[in-house]
Amino acid sequence: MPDVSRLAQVRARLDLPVVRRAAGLLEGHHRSVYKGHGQDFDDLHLYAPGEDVGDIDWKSSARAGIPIVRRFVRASNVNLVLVVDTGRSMAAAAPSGETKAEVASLCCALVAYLARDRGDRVALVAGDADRVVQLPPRASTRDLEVLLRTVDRLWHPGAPASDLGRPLDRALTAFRRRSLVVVVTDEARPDAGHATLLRSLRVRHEVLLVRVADLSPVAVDGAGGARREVADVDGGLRLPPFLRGRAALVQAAADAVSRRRAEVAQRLTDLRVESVLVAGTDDVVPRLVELLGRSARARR
Amino acid sequence: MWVAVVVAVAVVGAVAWWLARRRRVRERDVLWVANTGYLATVPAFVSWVRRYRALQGLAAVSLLTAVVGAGAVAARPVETDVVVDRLGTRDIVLCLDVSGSMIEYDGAVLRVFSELVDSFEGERIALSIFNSSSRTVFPLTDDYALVQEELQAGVEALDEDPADFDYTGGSDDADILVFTTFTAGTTANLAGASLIGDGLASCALQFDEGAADRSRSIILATDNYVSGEPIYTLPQAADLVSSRGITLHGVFGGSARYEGTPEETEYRQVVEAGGGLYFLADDPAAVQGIVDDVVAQQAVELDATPEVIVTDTPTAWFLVTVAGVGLLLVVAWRVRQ
Repeated sequence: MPDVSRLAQVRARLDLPVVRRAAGLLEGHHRSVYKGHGQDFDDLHLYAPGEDVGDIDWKSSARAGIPIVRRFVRASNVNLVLVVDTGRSMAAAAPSGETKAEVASLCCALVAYLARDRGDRVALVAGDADRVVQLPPRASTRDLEVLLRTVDRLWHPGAPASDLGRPLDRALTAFRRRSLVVVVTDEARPDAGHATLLRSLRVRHEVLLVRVADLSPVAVDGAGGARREVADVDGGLRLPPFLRGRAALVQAAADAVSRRRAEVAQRLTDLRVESVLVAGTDDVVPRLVELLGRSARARR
Repeated sequence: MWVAVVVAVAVVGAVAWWLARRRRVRERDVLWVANTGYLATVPAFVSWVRRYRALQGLAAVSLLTAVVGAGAVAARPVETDVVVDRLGTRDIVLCLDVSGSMIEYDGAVLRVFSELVDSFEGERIALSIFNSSSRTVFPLTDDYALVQEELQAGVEALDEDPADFDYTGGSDDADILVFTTFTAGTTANLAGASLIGDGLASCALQFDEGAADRSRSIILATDNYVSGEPIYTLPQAADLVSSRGITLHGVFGGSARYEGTPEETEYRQVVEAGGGLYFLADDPAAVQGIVDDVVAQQAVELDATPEVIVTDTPTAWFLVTVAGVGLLLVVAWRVRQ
């Protein structure tokens, strides 16, 4: 997976939202996240209109001749909690043709990578209707690797049904300290039943939601699609080739899907939870950039 | 035996089903999708599913049609015809003596032939009645509607003995009219009565000369009791008959006590000399058997063993099969595409 080079490209633009902004230099609790990771000048950037004038680093500005902002992130050990839906619906196909698990896996890896880069510790709560897997916050590369592999193993079509409520509930009870919670699930969730949990979670933590889109079953067509059987992981649907690739049907299904997406988006807006919909691994980086940018603006 | 066949078919079916199912599991190449519950609420999808089910049903029906058609074709549907075409070359003249004593026998002969006519195919039949003179009721013809009509008229006219009529009371006037209408013209020659030779000779003239390729026979019913002076005696008339290649079959109507009388003896000799069958019937009910014997004899002479012609008629079932297979192909193509 060529995500490393892509990461290198976006790393300069990508930053996880901070839990709480530093109050000032004198508190002594701050250091640049990138310190110790080389000469990354992401923490010094050109002043843009709208930014806090107090953030301008005057020495650097004097050297450069233009206003330069120096940003600090609180060095206190922030936890990043990955709440992952491991229900069997995650093993289904995404619009890109990959499985949603592959897309979600890249999302998790990207988020974990960014957190590690910043020195944050990453914890895991993965769960579905039958299982809840919890890993304590860890910061080392090896631990993150273990975490990501653990999640990968949980995703397969024979897994129990999806139930986002269980990992959300566990995250709510297990993590008391204010953390950044990144929920990875699919486009049909959260549903109305998760609203209360999400609201509680939002009060205590910073919550971001990454939703992986579903492949429209009636749109499966072509040489590869015609040979394969299309079935719902939860049963109840088995699509013969006869019912696939019909333009009118695809359009009608797409309308229904966009109605459902609008419904979920409205629910998340009401909860004031930032979320993003990802269609494939190619889509992960731009969508996450968009999400993180939005959440940064939202806190400002 | 049948149980074994049924069990074998069931076992083969179960094994085939199991193999198909295993193959399906092994070659499972499923593209999994999720959260598709919304599809059931999309009207376009519901209507397409309904169309798909209808096509599946149609495929099943056409498969059944093809299987039934193929089975029927494999069973070789045939048409069997029993053809006795040689008997169809017969010409038969019924030559009936309608003098008083023979009325009952004549009625029986007519009744038997009115039944036989129904199975005639190509036979020609004529009816000539005589007493002192002859009347041709109908000439040799294969117009079976006419024949049947005339035979029925004869049966009706002859089913009562004219000796029993009440000629003065008027109560039997209708029957007397029917009888006299049917026998009209048979007593024109006032010089005698029951002129057997003349009647037989005129019957012999019923046959047309040209149709020599047809078998000719006369069935004569008489008691050979002549009164008056005939132009042809019975032996002379029999010579005429044989000279025209006609076989004469004789029915002597009368009780057994007439056996051996000169009339009966002459009649028998004349008939047997011509190679025909001779019967002495003391009961009109025996006429059925007599006619059967005559027909059987003719069948032997004409070598007319019934021939069973078996014709394969697969066309209809073949078309059914083709239609079923064609429909199946179209539907399968439609479903697969």
